[in-house]
Amino acid sequence: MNERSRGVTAPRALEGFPVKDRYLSAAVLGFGIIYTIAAWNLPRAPVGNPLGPVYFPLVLGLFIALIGFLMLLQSLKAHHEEHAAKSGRYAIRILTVLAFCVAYALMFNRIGFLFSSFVFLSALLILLNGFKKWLMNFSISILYTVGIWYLFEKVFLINLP
Amino acid sequence: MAMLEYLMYGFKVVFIPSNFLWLTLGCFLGTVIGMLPGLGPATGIALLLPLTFVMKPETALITMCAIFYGAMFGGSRSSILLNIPGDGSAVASCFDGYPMTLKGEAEVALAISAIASFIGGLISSIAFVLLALPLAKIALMFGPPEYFALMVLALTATASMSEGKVLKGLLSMALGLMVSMVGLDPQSGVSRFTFGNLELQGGIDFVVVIIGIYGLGEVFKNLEKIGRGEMLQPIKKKFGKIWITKEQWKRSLVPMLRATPIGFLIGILPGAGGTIAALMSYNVEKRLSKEPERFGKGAIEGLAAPEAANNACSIGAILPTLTLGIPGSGTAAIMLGALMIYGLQPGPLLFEFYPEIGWGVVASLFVGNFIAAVMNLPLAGLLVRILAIPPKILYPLITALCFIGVYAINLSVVDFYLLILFGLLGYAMRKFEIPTAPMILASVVGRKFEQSFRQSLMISGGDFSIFFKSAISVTLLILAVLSLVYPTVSAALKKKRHAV
Repeated sequence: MNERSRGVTAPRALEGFPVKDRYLSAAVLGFGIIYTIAAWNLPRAPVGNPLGPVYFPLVLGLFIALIGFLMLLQSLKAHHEEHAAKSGRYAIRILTVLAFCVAYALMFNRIGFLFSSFVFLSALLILLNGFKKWLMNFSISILYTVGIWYLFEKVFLINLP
Repeated sequence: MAMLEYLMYGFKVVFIPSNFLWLTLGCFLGTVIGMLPGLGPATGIALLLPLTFVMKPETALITMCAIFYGAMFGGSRSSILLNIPGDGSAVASCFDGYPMTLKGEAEVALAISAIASFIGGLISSIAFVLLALPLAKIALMFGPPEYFALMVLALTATASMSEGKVLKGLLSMALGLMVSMVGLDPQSGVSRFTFGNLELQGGIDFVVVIIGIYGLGEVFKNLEKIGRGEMLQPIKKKFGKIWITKEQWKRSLVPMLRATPIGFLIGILPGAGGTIAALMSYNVEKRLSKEPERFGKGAIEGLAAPEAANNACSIGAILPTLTLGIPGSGTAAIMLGALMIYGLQPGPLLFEFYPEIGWGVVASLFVGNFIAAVMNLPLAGLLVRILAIPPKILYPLITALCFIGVYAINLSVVDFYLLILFGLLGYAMRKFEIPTAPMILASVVGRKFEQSFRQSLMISGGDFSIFFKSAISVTLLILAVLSLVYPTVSAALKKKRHAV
């Protein structure tokens, strides 16, 4: 490949696929195959055409596998290296937020909306906004929690746990 | 003129106090959401969706439309002042808008973008009125095979045009279809991909998908940016009179009038959205200009054209959503989803049986564009202060709102886990540069897509030739194939040209 093909002037569509896409396309291909098998093993319909509910997912699975295969072909042609992103710090932050989310889902019904939402939002704010601004963080959390609670219980008449 | 009568009726609906209030609020929210970088109309409408369940359907739709075009007004604010597009479709507004600010013409830039948005919106609303009934009449001729063909076209066009990566677009579409497969099959009662989970039998609510992908996924993606100091740029807060001179008006008028039909048509077409409309009209103006060297250095017509185009595009996208039940963009897909939640069938009958919804929405386009323009002209100086809200506070709030929004749909915590799952998926898709619009569209129309396919085959007794019997479905299918082939071919042609 010559220099020109990796040139800046080439439109986005021509740039080929970055190397990380190799893993993606392999995963897509594998997933398509698994999905196809799962679709074939779906229960048959008791009435009408027994294969009725199966056709569509089956074709979909094959379609995904085909996309994965084509993407793999394209990604093998890719030659330019990724400018590796320094993802370490963000990864930890995203994982922490993710953990908060799961914890929120677990807490929600057990300790109720008011308390869990207050803790959840405060935790997020402390993580991102810093603990130094605790007064601001806590006031936002209280305002949000009470505001939403009021909206749901009094205006929408939806009961929150 | 029956049409005018309908329209007058629509205006009556709009001026019911509660509708008018929500319309104003929608314009405001849209402007704010459009202004904030990283938050687009899709995210805004997705977050607001649960709130609309308690409204009347016409109020809800009017509000959602207002957010949609309000965001087109607002998106340019941060493009002009900060050189950061508030929304994808405001990218082209950076090219000449920011140079104008650097030249000290921020007031003119803000004014012309609001005026252009207004004109683009107004003309498109008129076109909308003229086209709504004829299009709806065409839709009356549609049976299951035609609907199937139409959906094939909408899906493939969205997949192939979204970001110029056909395979990834198709992958995104397939993911959306997969989501819609989960649950009890409505025709046979067989449960599919529920993994024995009772909660999944009713299927995955596409609102959860939308809030996950556009809401939480957006938050995850933006977590990377927080603390990088992107927002440290000081914002101009003091403004002179936000208005333009006669000479500047003369310069911009024709470009605005040219950009409007471009934007409107691109909006109607499934797939291509406001970004493409704005970029295309910018390029057209640059090519037609006698002094193209002024572009990129603060040419007022280079700002007016894309601003008119993206507004026209947002209104164009609403047209097929209401008349055919096929959304013209990701944001419109969410609105279609909302219609379905209210138990309404979009299409010709919407205008006939529910004139308060069909014509109310149409009339609201006129009033709303006016409100948004007023909001964005004299109040622009106040509104841009919202840009000073630090993302550190904004994103935690949005995260919390995503959860409570999802809870409002089914009052079930199971949806929380689905939300987290789709949030992660949305983040991964952004990381791998997979467009999200095709997935949203597919998850909204997926069930209907499969049903229309199977109904057609039931009508024909399993004969596939039913899809090729009517001229409408054949045309639509040919267009679908073309939409897939065209980007590949044109890319190959360009490659050849580059290689030479």
